[in-house]
Amino acid sequence: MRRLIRRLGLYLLAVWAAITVNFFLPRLAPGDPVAALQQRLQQRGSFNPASLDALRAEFGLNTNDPLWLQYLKYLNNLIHGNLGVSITRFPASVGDVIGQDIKWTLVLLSVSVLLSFSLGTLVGIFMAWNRGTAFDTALSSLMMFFYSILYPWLAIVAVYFLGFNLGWFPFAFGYDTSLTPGWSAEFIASAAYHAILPALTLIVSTIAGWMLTMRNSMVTTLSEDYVLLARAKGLSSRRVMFAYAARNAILPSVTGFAIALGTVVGGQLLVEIVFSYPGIGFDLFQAIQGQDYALADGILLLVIVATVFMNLIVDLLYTILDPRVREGRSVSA
Amino acid sequence: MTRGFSPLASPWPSRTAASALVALFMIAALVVSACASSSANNGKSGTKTLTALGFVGGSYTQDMSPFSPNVNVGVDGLVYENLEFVNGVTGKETPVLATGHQFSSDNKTLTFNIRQNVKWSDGQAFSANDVVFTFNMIKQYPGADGSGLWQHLASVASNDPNTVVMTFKDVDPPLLPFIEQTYIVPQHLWSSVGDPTKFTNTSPVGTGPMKLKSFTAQQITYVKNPTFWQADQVKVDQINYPAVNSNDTALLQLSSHQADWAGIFNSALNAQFVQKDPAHNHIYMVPVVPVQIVPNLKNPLLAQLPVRQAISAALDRQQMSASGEAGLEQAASPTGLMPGQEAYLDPKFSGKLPDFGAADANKAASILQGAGFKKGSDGIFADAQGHKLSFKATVPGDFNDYVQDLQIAQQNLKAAGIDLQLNKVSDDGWRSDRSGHNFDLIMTGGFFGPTPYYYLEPLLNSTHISGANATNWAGWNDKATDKLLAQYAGSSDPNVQKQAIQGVTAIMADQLPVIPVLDAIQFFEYTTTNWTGWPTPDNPYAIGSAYPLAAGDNEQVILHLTPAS
Repeated sequence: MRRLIRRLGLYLLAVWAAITVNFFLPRLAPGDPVAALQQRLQQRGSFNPASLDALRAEFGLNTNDPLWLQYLKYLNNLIHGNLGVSITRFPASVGDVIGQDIKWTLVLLSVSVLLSFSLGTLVGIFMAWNRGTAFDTALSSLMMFFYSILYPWLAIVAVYFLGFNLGWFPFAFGYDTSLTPGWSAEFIASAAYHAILPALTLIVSTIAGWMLTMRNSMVTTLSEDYVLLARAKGLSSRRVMFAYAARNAILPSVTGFAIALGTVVGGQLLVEIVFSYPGIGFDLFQAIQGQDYALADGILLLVIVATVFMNLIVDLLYTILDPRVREGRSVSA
Repeated sequence: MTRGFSPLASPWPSRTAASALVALFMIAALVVSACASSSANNGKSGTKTLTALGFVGGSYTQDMSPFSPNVNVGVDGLVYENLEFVNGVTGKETPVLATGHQFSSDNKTLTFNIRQNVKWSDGQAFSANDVVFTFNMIKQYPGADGSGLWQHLASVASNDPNTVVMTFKDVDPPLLPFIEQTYIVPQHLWSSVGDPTKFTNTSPVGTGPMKLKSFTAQQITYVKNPTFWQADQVKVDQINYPAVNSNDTALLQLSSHQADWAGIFNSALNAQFVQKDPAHNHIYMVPVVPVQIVPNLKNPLLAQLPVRQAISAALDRQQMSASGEAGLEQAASPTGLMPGQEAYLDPKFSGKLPDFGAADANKAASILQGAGFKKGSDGIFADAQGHKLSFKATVPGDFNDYVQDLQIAQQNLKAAGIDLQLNKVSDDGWRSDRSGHNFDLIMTGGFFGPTPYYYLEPLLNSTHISGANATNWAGWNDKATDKLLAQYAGSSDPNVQKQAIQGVTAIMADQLPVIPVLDAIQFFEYTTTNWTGWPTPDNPYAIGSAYPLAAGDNEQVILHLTPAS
């Protein structure tokens, strides 16, 4: 318990540090949100300094407060759940923008990560169990091949051949945009159909990582004495494989899985660009281009909190998976 | 204050490494599969729907006030209308909510005749009071006055339901297009909304040809407005604007005829769109304003006309067009005029837009020799005091097309005995160097408007040399130019204005205050599979691009479209 409280404190510290860096880094970088705004306004007509000044005031960019005071105000707003107003989407608030787009990101990415992790880990277990066989060698080489494919290339090939040329799958959008989003069967079916191609490419490009991590980790545990003991006791293969070898080998994968789930909320910019799929990654991309500090900070804050939260979950999982942690001993002992 | 619709930046999208990479791979994939047969579904829908890619940039947030800096596509022009449409290609005016206008003889009063029998889409009658209300609302909320109208207007009032009278603080007829293009909103709904830049306007009520059917983050859908005053001319029943994240997706949408209309850049447009179905797929890149290499006239070498002439003569504009700009932008005219603006040519050009001719390094060298420059042992010309013709060209490092154009210029100038180095800077650095005259040569676009005045005035008027928002980047300080520009600005007579522009274009061609290179364009792609009647170079009734910059133009396009038989 004491360990958990200590961890919790550490996590809070990490969140605060990340928020702080998050606040200062974009503001120290060169560039000016007003210049970016001016650029956009000029594309719509002539530019009038007086109108620009008025808009600056509305965006809260006319402040003469020193940076530290802005920082304190930012923290105060955060505590009150106010993420501010987005400049690139003005007058929409950061909360509205994130709320609107994050559902797409969450569903697509968490399902892909979950599938990729469970499939990859399971196959990794069997590969390690059958290490050295043709099955293991062939699959290992194949996985190394998938592992080294650049994601954008894979996605574009999928879009172009499976989507555009063959027409098996839609190559753009999150659903048939002529439908009204809602809980209708038609909409859900359309959304699922549109998600297949992006999810497939995500799974193909990440599954090799899970497989190889699990395989290599389990090959090590398979040579441990306790596995030999389990076999000597005459336990069933399945029990030795899962309860003895895999359970001990899965720890690094679980950490990786948690981190992957934590970063899900940041979206997948490449997926969103190639498939024109709705999501939070493109919002972040645009926020950075438009020097929209409030929106960028809001999304990054979400990523930080989610990552830290998932790490906390892993800590809890470790206590279940690994008795040494439960008893407060060092993991490496 | 400077006016003009201004792609001050490169009109080409600047890309981050990530999206450039994606584009690169996309092109590679396109090339690889060039021989694979395309089985795109050329599905023709039964309903008369137009699908337009008017916004490439992620999901929508609803923002339907024409005065918002982030207004949604389709709000301007389709839902709300302006007083008069001014064609950006020809400068021709088409009456919309006003049937005409007159300046007083001293040009200090402007009267608009307001159209009768126009209804808002909620059934209420439109009147001059709505126009008066809109202008006075902009006065109250300066954030909505993007054109700075109230820096020159003194009052806007109406004596009867048919006319609106505007008075000016100073004589300023060039303000007219910006007044004409102000979108008019209904007083009965807007008088209580407060700041119009913050108003999301979720159920917009306008006078235009379309009205909002539905809004989602992924698509904005408009349907025909039955109360529109020219409803019988509108053949489009519905317009879909899906949210697209990239120009590559947009290209595939166009190519598979899932979209009818767009305004995107993609270097594969010819190969992957036009050539896939030349009978139906078309691009019409509308030239609007020159891209130029601006010399800093404070530099004693660049201040000499022969040096500028030699630089200009050596440039291979054809190669820049072909390899720097994917063949989409054409070589500029020394007058700074666009094709279609021949009426503004000085009579000495006898009605034909002059060109720079082919690159000629020998001609450049002989101009320099004639001016007393001598080639040094390193092959670079220098003046009698030994000052070498060696310059730095400032360019935003992420404007790939500009960088490539200047690399071509570098080779061209080297052959002519002039040394050119590229100075790649950030976008912000480029902007501040430009207005601060902190460069030798700088590559940039310009402002544009319905007549060449809106390009020439910011660029050449000596009043714009200094200040934080300086737009006379070269530092051109010439009494004759100023006088001609003042002649234009002081008159509302199109003939007097035309003569003034003719004078300035002659100065452009003869004295090279800036060196025009290419004609910057507005991107416009369309297919005639489902709809015909699009603007063409032969009938440029509007700038066809499907994006909000050409909002008033979009209304004209909708009025011209008819279903393909």
